[in-house]
Amino acid sequence: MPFRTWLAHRWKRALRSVSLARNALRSILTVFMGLYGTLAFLGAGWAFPFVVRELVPGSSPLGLLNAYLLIGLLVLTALRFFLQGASGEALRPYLHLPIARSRLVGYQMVASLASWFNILPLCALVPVALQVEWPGGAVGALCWWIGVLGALAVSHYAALGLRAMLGRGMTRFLAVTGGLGALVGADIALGLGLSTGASGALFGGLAAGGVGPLAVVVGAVGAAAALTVRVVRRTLWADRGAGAASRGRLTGAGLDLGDSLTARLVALDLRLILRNRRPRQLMGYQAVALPLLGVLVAISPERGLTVAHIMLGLFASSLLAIGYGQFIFAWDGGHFDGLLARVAPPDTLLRARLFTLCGLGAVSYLPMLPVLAWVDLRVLWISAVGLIYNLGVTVGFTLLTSLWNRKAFDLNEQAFFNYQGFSSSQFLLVFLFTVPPIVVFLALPFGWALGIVGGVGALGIALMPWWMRALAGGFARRRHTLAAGYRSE
Amino acid sequence: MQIHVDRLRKQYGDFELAIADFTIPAGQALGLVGNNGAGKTTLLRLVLDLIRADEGAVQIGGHDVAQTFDWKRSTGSHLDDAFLIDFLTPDEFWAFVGSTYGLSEDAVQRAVQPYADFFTDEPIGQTTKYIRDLSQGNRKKVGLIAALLAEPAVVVLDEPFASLDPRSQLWLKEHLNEQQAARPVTMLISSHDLGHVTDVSDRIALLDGGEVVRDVRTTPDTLSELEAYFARTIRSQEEASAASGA
Repeated sequence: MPFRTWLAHRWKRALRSVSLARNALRSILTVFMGLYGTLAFLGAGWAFPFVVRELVPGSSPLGLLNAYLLIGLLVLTALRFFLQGASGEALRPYLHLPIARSRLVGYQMVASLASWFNILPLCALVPVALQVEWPGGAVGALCWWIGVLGALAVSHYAALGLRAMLGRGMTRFLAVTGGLGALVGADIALGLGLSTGASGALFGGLAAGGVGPLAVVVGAVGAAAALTVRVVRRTLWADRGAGAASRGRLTGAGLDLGDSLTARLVALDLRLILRNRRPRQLMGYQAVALPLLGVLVAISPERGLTVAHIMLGLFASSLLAIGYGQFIFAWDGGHFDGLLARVAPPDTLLRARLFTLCGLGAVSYLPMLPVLAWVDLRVLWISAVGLIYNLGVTVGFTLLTSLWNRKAFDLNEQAFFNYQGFSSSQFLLVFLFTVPPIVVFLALPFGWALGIVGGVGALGIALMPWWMRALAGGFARRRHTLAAGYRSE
Repeated sequence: MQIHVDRLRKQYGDFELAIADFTIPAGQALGLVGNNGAGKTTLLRLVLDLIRADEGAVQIGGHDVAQTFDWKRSTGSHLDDAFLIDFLTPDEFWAFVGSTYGLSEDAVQRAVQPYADFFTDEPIGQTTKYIRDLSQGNRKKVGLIAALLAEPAVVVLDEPFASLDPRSQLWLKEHLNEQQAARPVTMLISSHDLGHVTDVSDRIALLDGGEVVRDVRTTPDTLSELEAYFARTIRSQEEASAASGA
């Protein structure tokens, strides 16, 4: 099978996917989000030099970009691990055919580069590259581009390789990334500048037309590709029950999204939001409120770090998750008996809701990135540690409060000024986990606050398996009480 | 797979459901009848672990339903609209329910095809209406198909014939009988329709005031005996109110 046939199959697979054909709304939304993402990243790249000149007068936009590119790529690799499709899935239908598996893996290694996780960063980098001055002239620009493309490829292959190797074993991955994140955070907080220095040396060297940095990147690409091919090939033979690893399981920590029931429960949540008036309106209002808050903060004459700046950064990845999450199970009140009678074990419900909240966090955060960068780069930093804090702390506490939701929601009432199901205890609990990080940012130096809030979040993520088990136990104990409440008993 | 009820007690205010020892052997269909408030739905909810018993336990296939979850993969059920996810189309709902039994979408599509004569509102596989937009009868059909599509070893149904048109009632009755003839499915069916429930049951249990007051094998005379029983309760109530009026 030639490579073009492989590409044609990939294209047809995307175009003829059952879900795409059956759900026009989702297709339109996907196209819209793709366009929005492309334009947002293009806009962010175009605005970057202006923002730098405004906020850090006298510094070079290219220099600043180079200093943080490596950290950005580390974050990108972590995001890919959770969100990017696995490599083995596409290979599975071909494994029984008389085609060398090494060839199939090679095809997939190349074809998988056409990913949004590679396209969107390039959308942001192209406008920057067109506006900056290159210290190494045209040769420097060429070397820099080869280096950036190579670094993206390394990030891509590293994520694929880690996925194949760990099977999305979250605990190990989170331990490694948490450790790395803590090191980088400490480096920034303490002003050591090791990570930014290394990044600046690598990409700055490329921009100056240096051969040494180019050799480093090319070598890294080769090593990453070779290792990933080796790991992916090995997983093709591994007996993991219908290719568990390649379908993207979050094992370890008992967080198994590959389980089709969990995935279906997450899909059920999405349908619940899209097809019912109250959750749809609630999510819609909050999705609008975030950028609006961003605009208000941006146009305010206050240049210092205000509560509004901090709230914008922290809520960028949590507002939708809190809005939806604080009523989890109450949304399901009308069909809770059916879920309880069928879903085994019942804590699968809780696990699915965890993924929904994490997904809502990502959905609200990613489109907000350009807005946050436009408002203030410090807000972008707050939002980054806010994301970690929300995944590690906010999501867990939100799920905990949901175990006390005993009033079923009428899904088709309007959300505006509708307080059905709200209670003061929920309000207070939400305050309990949203106020402390704000206080930390107001009371401590910026770097320390970033480290502490991010550290607490990372600790929460590391302890996720433990608190998920505790929440599952709580759910098992309270399931009858919840069900009775939803039956108005 | 048998259903076994062991010294079960559940109190709701003045009402108490108390069933000492009660077994539905594997492959048997038990019809549960009784007046409103007799405790039928409470018993079904206890069997499905939707409410917590004050005392005692229910076992399905030897598994205590309050302690384990394995029994759910062998049990199909439909009690009321709370078993439906009304913002899904019927196809989406069946696919979701199928996934709870580990069935793929293709397997679900194959499993629901035999119900094309039963669910006639829209072609199965191409349904577009959300469940909330269906009539009461069609919603009931969606729930019944969901309960039966995975061919579970245990089936628990509450009022399966209510809201169905006569043709669908007859279809369902034949289908339940065919299912029982084809494989050893244990059924617990609560119904106010004495005729239909005796037609699909091997045994009838009569609940009154939270207790099983009669538990008999179904015979050709069962229907008339049940009708006579309920007629007597009407007369005794009339006599009681006449006496209190006097």
